[in-house]
Amino acid sequence: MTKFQRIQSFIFGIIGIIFGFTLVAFPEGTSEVVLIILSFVLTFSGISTLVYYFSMAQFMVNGRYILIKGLIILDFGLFSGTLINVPNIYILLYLAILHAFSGLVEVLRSMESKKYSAKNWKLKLSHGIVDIIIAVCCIVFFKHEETVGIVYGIGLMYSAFMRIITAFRKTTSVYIQ
Amino acid sequence: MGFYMETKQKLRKLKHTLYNDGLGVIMLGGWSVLKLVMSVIGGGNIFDYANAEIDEDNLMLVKIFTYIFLVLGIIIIFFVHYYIGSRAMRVGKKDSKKRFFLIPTGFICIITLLSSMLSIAALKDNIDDLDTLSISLILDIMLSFLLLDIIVSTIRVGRLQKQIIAKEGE
Amino acid sequence: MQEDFHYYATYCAAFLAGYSHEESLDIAYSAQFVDLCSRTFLSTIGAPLDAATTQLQLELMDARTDIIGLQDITRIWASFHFLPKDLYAIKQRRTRRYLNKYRLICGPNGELVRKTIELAKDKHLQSVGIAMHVLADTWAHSYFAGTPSLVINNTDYDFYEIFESEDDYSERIIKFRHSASAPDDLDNSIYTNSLSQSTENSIMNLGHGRAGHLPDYSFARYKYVPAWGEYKVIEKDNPSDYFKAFCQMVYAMRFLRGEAAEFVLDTYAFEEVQQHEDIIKEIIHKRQLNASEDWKKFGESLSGTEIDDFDLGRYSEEYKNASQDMKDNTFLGKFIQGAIVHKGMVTNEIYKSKNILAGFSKEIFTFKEQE
Repeated sequence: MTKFQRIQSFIFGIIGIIFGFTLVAFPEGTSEVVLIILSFVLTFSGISTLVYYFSMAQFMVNGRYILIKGLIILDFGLFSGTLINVPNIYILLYLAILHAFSGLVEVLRSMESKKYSAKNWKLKLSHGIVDIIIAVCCIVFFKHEETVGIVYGIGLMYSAFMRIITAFRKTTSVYIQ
Repeated sequence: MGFYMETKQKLRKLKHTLYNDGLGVIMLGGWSVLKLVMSVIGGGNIFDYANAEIDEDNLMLVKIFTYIFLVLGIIIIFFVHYYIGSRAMRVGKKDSKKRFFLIPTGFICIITLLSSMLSIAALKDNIDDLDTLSISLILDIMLSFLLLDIIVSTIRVGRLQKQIIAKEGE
Repeated sequence: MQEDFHYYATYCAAFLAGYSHEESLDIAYSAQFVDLCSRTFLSTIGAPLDAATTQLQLELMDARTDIIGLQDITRIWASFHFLPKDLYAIKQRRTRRYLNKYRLICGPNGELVRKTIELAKDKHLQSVGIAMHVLADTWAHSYFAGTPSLVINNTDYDFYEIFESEDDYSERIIKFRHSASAPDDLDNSIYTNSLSQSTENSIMNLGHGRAGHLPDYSFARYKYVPAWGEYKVIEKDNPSDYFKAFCQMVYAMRFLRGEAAEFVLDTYAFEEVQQHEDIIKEIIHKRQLNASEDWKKFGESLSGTEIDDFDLGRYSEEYKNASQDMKDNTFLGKFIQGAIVHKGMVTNEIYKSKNILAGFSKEIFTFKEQE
């Protein structure tokens, strides 16, 4: 990592922890926050995909698929910003699926790392297990009003904490002469 | 490049385009359906879709019928898009000679274009929702373009294949 | 290419070029070592990590794909496995961003091949081995780029294996699957490739991942539609390419030994190889996943001496036990020097062409331009 990347990771990590803590402390209205974040991320992703299409993918065989994908993601992003009354259960389901999938991928990657005797397999495994626990909590505590806020807030704080740890890990600098 | 090689290259491009257009129609059809479902769940009142007089006596009945028609509508919308898309993909990838699907393709294309024109007119009265309506309009136009491209490309594929067969026969 | 060509075939080419058995072994070891010298390996022996000439699957899984990560990946893969053919290629109506990736497409007989060979002149045998690996890969890995790129490296369903004999020609559609453990099924043309990912910088779109191991099989002849080719079909004739790669290696090593005045591109030692042509072509054409046995037998028949099997750890202890100021004199120390110099040269050339995909570079030595 460069110095700039480390500073960036650290700052985003701190912001994430503050934000996550706020959501855990004041869980009312988290559903709307989740929707707004989702809407923003998808809109941005849609625009990036369209920029990618016009700068690169239009010259590629089967490139039109990227254009359609970009338009759909952009529409999804703008559309999700208009949803006013999504029941908590659907947001919890979305969070549960997201964390379960992410957790499973991390666990599989940690098994792969262990096979190659890499040193960081325990970290990956713990990351995966935490994600799966969050997913299970979403389902077990779905009836509690504040579950969305607490789950999302904890997830955010955990990711932010991991970012800060990564920012302080040693990496080798590469100079080419 | 010789005429034969150029023709083969054009044919290859058309067939790949058909495959992707077909995939695009299926994706857009699937997205339309998903959007409708999300609107019902998170956006508004199911009875907005009912377009019927509601009172206490017929409340349950209207709700049931509305749901049934909504579900049927979703299935039909998706099925039509899937049918057109998969047929186009077959022409592109597997050289299918079936052309009947061009009829519903033309029909849906005309409907989508008319719907787009109505959306343009509606934009003026909904300035607050300009961003969402604009992108929906763009998607409708994209769908019309794909459907039209499927028709044109399928016809061109047929013509080029005949030219190649004639050339190979010489 | 894989061990059968990088190790055993390179040994054979070195011997035919006039190197002794021991020298040929050193060259062959170095050529094969390029495929295994990862940061994971270098960290176990305490060697500088920027000498890495490859990345393991595990390292790639963890690799970042921001601009810094991409530069790191490109430096390694474009330098050692996908040497760009033409860093100044022109393609009309393309954005700068697209051209940067397009210009990294690998191919034989590019200017960088000449520079690679000349860089190895009067250097250790390890540098010769590195150069031979790079040269051979320009033939096998043609039409793919050593940088993650969907718009360059992607392939689709339009992929056929060609079977041609004197009186027969047929094509069979290739089925790709994503099973790392299942071996490729040659009888039914079922091969493993990387997962389709529609993100530009996904690791799945690095090099020839989307074509699986097909470029690494000497017997394979196939045709496909590359993502960059505007719907033109590429026909890849590996038997012919591998034979040319072999003959060009012999020619290059004769130059490096001082038996040729200069290294000229598109020149091959056909005459020197002629008496063994039938055997070589038989090995190349044989439909098998690994031709190591056959190449080894051929090599042993050339030199009359047994060829040691490749052993990754053969020189590790020597390097680990050497004192700090003596490490450069060990086998791996010499390889490391050669790798760093080669990587620097390629990175510098890419940077000079105003392409920052391989990172930033500062030139501290210059080449004599060919008159």
